[in-house]
Amino acid sequence: MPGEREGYLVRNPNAVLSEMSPGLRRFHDAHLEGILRGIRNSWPAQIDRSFFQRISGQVALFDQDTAAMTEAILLPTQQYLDRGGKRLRPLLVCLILESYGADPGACELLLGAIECMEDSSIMMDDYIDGSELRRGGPCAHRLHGFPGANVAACTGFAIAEAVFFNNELNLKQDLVLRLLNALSWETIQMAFGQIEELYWTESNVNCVTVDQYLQETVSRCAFLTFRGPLRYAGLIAGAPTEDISVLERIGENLLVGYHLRGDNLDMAPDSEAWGKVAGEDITTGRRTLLINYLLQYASDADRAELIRILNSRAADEASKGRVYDMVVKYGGFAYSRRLAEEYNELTKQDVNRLQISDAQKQLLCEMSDFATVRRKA
Amino acid sequence: MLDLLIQGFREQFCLDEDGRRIRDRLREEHARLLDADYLQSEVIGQSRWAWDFESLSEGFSELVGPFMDRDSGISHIYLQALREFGDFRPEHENIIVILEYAYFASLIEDYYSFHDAFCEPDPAPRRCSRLTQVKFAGQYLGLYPRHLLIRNALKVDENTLIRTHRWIKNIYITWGISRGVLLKWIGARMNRVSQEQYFQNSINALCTYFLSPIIMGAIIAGWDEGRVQQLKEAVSWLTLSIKLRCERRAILGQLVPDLDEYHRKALLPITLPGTSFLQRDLGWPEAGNGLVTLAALHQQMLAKVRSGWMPADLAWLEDQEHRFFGLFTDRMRQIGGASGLVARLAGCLGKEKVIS
Repeated sequence: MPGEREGYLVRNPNAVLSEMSPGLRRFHDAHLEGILRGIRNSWPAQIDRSFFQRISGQVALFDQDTAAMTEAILLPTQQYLDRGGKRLRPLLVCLILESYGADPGACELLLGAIECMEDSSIMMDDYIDGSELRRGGPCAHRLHGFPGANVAACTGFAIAEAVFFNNELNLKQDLVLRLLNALSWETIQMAFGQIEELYWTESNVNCVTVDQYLQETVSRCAFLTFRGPLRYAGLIAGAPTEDISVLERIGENLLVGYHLRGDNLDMAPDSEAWGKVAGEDITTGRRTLLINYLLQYASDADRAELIRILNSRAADEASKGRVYDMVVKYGGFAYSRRLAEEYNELTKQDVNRLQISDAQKQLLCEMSDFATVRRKA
Repeated sequence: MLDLLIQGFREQFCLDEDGRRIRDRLREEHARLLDADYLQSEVIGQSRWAWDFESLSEGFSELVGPFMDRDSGISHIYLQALREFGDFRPEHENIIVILEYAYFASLIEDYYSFHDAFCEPDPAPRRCSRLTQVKFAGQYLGLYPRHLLIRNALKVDENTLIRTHRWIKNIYITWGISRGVLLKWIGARMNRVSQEQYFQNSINALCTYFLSPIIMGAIIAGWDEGRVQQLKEAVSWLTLSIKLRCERRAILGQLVPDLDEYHRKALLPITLPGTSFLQRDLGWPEAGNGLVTLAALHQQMLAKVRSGWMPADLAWLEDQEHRFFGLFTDRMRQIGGASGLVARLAGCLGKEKVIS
């Protein structure tokens, strides 16, 4: 595995999962092999002629430099995949497929594609933030440069979509079109969310409302975490129409809770499992909920100091510590936790509206607790 | 852009009527995308919370606006191909927006990828947020075509819709892979690259120019997959011929010497004199450290090629260009159809003899 070869695999993968409930952990363990098989089939060790044909649709007239193709396009995502992860997205897909009577074993390519999309897209987050670490190893742009990480991320994401645009699950045409329609809408949401966030950060916008923040966050992240997986699994499994919209809302609520938990962890990691440098949101000047909260409620003097630190993109521990102190002083963590709990509660209310078994509802609720309250990475 | 790469393209290939059609369609779409109400109702859809449209406007519309009503020349190829391949219907004009936006998004991505700030040998993490903002604005510009397609702006049947969508993704992936390979080769300073590999990557790298519009025309015209595959092969030969032509003219200093910085960088994959460099085995004794920029490599290669070139080398390059164009016309004859398109291309490339 590339991660191990380079000596970067420093995280204990079990630590990532340690806060899962026993039931969820059992479900995870039971499906892990299928998920890993799906990833291997979606993301081969190398690009050969037939794989190139499958994803590009081109007729190659000459020999290709498949080694360079593999290194440039597959390797960066592979390095992230090899470092492990929570694999919550494919796990959710399994849960929803089973809940509506479909067999996850018949959809392994989907499980793999969802995880590969996620791992390709987080490369973009990493180079946007200039981050150093991801899952305990160096970020892709640190290993392959910005252009290399960008090309690998964008192309890798498109390759992972092959399961949909090539209809590799042999679905009916109208269902394929529904999935492609959803995918198209979701990727546009992602881009708009990303544009907003970049603009707020780049232009040091200090008046972002909670509603705007939530819209940006959900647009940018909910597709992969978790609205997309829930929606696709529901559609493919033939869930009732009324359940599809509930699943989408669950995905959004789950994402908000998950994201708020992530923002809190960024500023105050609970353990080494976090696998990233603490306080990156401060050093990148990101307008997270905690930062927006302070901009709204801090005293004039504190607000001015916060703006100075954010605008300077200060990376020193003293500056980060100062922002942390302000978050504590104004009750930011408590506010953010409360909001996360509210969304966790909304998730659970919606879960109970689904036409699935009680045991599966229980697992979904445990998933929500894990994502929004218990996770440490 | 095609008029920058092919002398006489506007005058000898393009039709005035198509030019007007393209300009009108792009202007109309540009206006729609600047309209927050249109964005909200037709693109974004119902929102649970609140969008910050002011930021969206400044972070997207203003950045990509200058590209949104440009005519790259690609749509002219599409319109002429479609007319010869099958029936032209007004709704097929929507492809103009799809092709042009996807193409200009790829130029923005190229500029981002080959910008010096992202290639410099700086061990510290660097962040060029303004450029990243432009990149993501470009990314949306590239996603919008798929949105139009999948909402069936073309009014085609389900099967054709899925095929056109797949082709858009195929082109994006082909283009992306070619950039990845190019970046790897830049790092190795073109050492251990074979001529064949360079040829194939050049075809992949230029897929947005001819493969994209011509194949799109065939799919919309309802050509079956077997015939489309044959057409892909034919157009790949055309692409390679054009690439060699651009390379030869770049060596001679005839290819848009007054290109601005933006276009110079974005078009580097096309003007890189790799064929001549590899043909004369002008490689460097040691591979670089992976941090050289494409712009720097381009200059070094051009200097090396120019300092060592002989008339015979240029003649060889021109021979290859003719040979590949000949393969294109042969294949097109075998497939049947599009003789007008081939003739007009031959006309502006000065290759009338090849098809006579």
